[in-house]
Amino acid sequence: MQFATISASVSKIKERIPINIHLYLLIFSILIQAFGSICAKFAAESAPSGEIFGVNTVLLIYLVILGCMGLQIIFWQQSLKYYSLSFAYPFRSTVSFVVLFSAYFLFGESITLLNIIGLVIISLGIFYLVKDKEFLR
Amino acid sequence: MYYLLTLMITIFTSIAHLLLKKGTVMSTEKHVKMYMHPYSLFSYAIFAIVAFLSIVALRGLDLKEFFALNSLTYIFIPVLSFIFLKELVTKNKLIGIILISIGVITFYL
Repeated sequence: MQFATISASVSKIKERIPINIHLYLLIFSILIQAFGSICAKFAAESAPSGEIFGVNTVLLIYLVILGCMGLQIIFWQQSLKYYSLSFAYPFRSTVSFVVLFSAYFLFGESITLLNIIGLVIISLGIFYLVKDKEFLR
Repeated sequence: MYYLLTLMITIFTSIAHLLLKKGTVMSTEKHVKMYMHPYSLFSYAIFAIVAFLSIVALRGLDLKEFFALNSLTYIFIPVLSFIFLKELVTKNKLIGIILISIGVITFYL
């Protein structure tokens, strides 16, 4: 019974927001942004004089971040051709999911109850956002 | 100092996204024009500066703290979109944005 209700809600959302290339581009750009943020933290934690293959570590990571940013912008701008900014931008909050796991596994930061509550509220917010009919640019 | 720097990053990011959207909308259907539009180019420059400033800010802040302050963009950008891009603010969109803002702030507390 519950499965049928969830399935009906998903179908309604699919009707409103067609699963198309622009949606994939939006998701890709968000994932790349998350990766760039993790790289930024790595750069911040690296010793300023550290070297990889004779190149300064911070400089190398900064170049990787710029590369990610370039790729992210290409995808993001393509998705902005289709979606309004006030619809697309809040989707970037899904980065919090990636940040939570990377902060825990890569940087030894802790997961708190507030983190979990926050993610639940964010998910609820995204649900309201995708219910909206005014998502086109 | 690091908090102030992150606030600056938030403002720069919001402005850059607004310019990027303007550049995308104002250019024609041709992809190259969209990426080479002056507004787009200016926003790329701001993003590059933001990337550098983020590394500096993260030297003094936790990743979670940094993102908590950065979540102000979820409020700034819809407001700027409404003012400068004339995007509609519907009831669902408003509820969604408010919930996401509360969620992000709760997450990073």
